[in-house]
Amino acid sequence: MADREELSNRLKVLRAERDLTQEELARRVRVTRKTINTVERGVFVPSTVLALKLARELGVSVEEIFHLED
Amino acid sequence: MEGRIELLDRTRRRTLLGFLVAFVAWQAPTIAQEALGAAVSAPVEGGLTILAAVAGVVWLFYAIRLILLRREVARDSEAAAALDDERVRQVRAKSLACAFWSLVVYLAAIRLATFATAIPAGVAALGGLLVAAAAAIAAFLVLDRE
Repeated sequence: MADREELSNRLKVLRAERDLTQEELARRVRVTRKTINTVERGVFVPSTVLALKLARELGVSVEEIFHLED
Repeated sequence: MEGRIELLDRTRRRTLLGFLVAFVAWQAPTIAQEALGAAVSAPVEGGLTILAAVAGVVWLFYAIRLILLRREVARDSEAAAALDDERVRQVRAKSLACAFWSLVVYLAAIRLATFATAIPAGVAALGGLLVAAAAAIAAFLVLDRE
């Protein structure tokens, strides 16, 4: 099982490319802004459901947001 | 501009912090009175009683605010979902685990202390309540930080 240290994400970059604030993205996927912030910083590892919701809102695949470090 | 959910989240944190401080300020003098018994002077006893009474009223204020806040959130399905998202549920579970282990440590300490001195049952019981409640809320506030 992957530790959180092994999981990286491009959520902040992808969100910024779409001119979305953390708060707006949070509202769309029905979580708090803090949750988006902690996911972006790698502090909180989201569930598969939340990862899929984020991918859907950003119009990318989950693998484009999250990836395991080699 | 701060959104409604962000505002509710901040209000929840502030209310919980007030609830925690008032609860400790209410219970600590009460426990001190129980523990010290007749050893405290009348002015100190009176001071502790007034402090506990004032803190108890403040705690009641925050307890009512928490109930009203919960009702307000429940009426807004979007806010209710966001303020109880998977990270918040994880933080809540960790907070309860922290409270459980704090209580275990407290009970072990009380048990050990009874070998050295007699501890009134009221002190042990109120202390356990204080430790468990304070640990749960304090852990939530710490873990819920950004």
